[in-house]
Amino acid sequence: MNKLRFSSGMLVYAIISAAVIAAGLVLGLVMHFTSGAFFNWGGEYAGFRSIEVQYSAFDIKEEDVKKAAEDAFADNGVSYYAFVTAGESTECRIEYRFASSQDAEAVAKAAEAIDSAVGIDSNFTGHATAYTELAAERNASVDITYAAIAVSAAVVFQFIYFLIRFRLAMAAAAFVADVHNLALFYALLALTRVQVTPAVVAVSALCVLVTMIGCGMMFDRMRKLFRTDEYKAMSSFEQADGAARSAFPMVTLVNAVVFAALLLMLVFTAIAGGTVFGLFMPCLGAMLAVLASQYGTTLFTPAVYSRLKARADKRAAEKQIKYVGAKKSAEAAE
Amino acid sequence: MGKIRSAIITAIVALATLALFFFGVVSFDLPGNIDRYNSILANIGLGSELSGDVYTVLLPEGVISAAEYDSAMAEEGAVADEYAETYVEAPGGAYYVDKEVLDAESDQQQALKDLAAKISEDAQVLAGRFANRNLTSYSVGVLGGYGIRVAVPSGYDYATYAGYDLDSRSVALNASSSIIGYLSRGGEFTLRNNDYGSRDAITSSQLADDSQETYNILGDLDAKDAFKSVKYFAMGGVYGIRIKLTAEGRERLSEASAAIADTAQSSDQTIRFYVGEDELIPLTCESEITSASFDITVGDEETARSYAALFDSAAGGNALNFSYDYDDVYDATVAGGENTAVFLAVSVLVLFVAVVAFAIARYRLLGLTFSMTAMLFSGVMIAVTYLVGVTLTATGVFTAVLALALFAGCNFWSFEQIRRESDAGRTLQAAVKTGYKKTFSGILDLHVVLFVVSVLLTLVCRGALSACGMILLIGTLASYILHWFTRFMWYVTMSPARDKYKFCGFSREAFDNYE
Repeated sequence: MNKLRFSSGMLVYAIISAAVIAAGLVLGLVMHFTSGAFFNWGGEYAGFRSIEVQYSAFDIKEEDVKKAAEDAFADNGVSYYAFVTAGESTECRIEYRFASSQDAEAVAKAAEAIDSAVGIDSNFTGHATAYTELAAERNASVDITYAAIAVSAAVVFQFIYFLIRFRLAMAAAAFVADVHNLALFYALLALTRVQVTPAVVAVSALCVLVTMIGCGMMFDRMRKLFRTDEYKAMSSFEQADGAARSAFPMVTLVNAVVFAALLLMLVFTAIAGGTVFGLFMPCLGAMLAVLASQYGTTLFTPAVYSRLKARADKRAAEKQIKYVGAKKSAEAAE
Repeated sequence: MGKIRSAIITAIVALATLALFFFGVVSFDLPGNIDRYNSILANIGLGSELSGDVYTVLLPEGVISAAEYDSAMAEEGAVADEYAETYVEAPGGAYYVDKEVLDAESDQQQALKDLAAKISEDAQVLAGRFANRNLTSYSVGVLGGYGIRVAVPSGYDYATYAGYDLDSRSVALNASSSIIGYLSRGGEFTLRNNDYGSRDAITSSQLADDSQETYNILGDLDAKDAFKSVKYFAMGGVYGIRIKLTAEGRERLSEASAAIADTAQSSDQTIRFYVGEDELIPLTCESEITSASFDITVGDEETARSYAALFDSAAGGNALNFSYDYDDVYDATVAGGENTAVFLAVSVLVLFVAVVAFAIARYRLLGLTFSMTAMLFSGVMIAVTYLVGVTLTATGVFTAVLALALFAGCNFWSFEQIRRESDAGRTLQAAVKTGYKKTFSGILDLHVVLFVVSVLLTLVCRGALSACGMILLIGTLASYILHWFTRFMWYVTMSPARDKYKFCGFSREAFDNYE
């Protein structure tokens, strides 16, 4: 059993959390006012530049088209972040996607270079078109709103359920943990500039789910331990520490399994293709969510709970004194 | 439990589990290369991150691509002259616009800007329609100023994506193409009849085309004043759309439907649902429609969802400025690499093996029993996901891994508690009883919370998040049921063991001391 004293680090945890959240907020706001994006929105939300190469497989091989394109990109100093191939026989297409930060003129020049390699200049029937801008119309706020409604409803339900099953202080601490971890997750997204794609928005639900699993395990352990005489004699802080220490391995194991899975997915999908755009950002986002949840659930939450419990115990003691005092007064009056 | 009974039950469960897992995960060619068995996993519909998407570029009338223009110019002669005469290059150089489309009275550059602005407005309307269509992903964007690139998931399962099922490929491609076709319809939403109603622009157009004339039965009442909403519904295998009317719309439709249903007043007893000049649904009207809402059943779920998204947008006054054409739809490979789905599956398998290895290393034969139920859990997850028809996205796979972590975590939690009880000197039977009793409430709490959260995610959210909610729901239920099944199998498999502590990798302090 570890000897960690979770409850004593409240000030440290509060400072760390506040610093990360504030830093995320500040960086997000700076980016919002300088480049118009609080988060680093992915292509589905922010759009992208692209070059579409159309060619006939009877004329020219896909490898040759790709080589011509790579040469053109190298010559013009542009780099794409993803490509897709489509179509077959006479209607083959390759679409290269560039971040909006890439120079539009250079992208257009690269397209011209490809065009001359696959088009009539080279006696082929292909064509390369540069689309200097794709203004995406997918509205991030709609996706986030739906995710927020579902996550909020889930958090409120958890609060009510814990209130019924456990105690008010535990329900409140779980509620604080959900909100804290979610805030931390979004701050980390803003800080690390991980691209926010629709899948990353969905990952915010994962953050809350992992937190709920952790809190459920921890508070159940606490409830059990608080029934023993040994724990009853302890202070709220010692009680919370003991229970948190006891639940720590299981909560960490669950988070570690999910984190390891994400890491594995990241490694394997990196091997899967030349570009890991599709899953890299969701995996990275999910790993941040698990990290935020592990920190918030195992360190921050016991510290918060111990204080809430201390207050609740104090109030209960005052009530008891008041009740006993009132009873004594009534007896004296009689 | 006796040895024979234990062996029989273990053999039956193990065989059933292996069979479910084998047919759930492994695809193989059948003898003689006649056909191929595609596993249940290979038949689950995949999201665009795993099987790519289907895209096309919508162009309004009078706009052509630079590729088409250049191709015409390469032909030289009359064709090249005609193109050079007809079209003007749009800013950006990706498109050419017919000069007739541009407003003759204004400056050409200004007219091009106005055209681009209207196309941008249409893209926003289209984005709203695709968002309402409940797709796991979609993309709508103005491409090069004058084209609208739309992409929807291909809807392929892995067998189709990998080319093992070419029939399903064309079916899925048609379905995706039909979604784009329905949602990109331009023009206003009107209810029409061949005899009853008032003339409008569509009637004039039909007259000009010498086709069957139809009349607007709502008259001068705008669609947005007549309709509150159009929503998709499904009930007991019946799919359709539910149309809600405003008080004004209700009154007008009541009057119109009474007249249409009356054979003396109208020879056509059909209310025709139009978007632009296209008739989409003919509704036979046999009596007056008096209710504030009415349902129309549609043949299949996909079409019903498309109608609901299109009608809701068009009836809400969000008609497209133009009619859009597209040559073809293209099924694109996955942006994250062609084999993303395979490698994702391999990574989940590696993780599964790691969990199993941990269980066996820590709990010996009990770990083996757990491995069997974990295999059953995976098989059940795969089978139910397939049967429910959930689309598997990357986040869906994360959620499935979370469910596996929940299942493994809950079992290990109980095992650890039992180990503690056993270490404290209880007999194994008592330790199991007490251990499960002590973890019961915590595990129940977890599953109840996750069950409700998954229901909320499924019902409240749309697209990928809703699919995740469904996978979590399946995972939570499977985890809870199989948690207790693991206990049962523990009891069954442990019965014949002589040294029950060794079977579980546990020790008993009191007993050891005694020895």
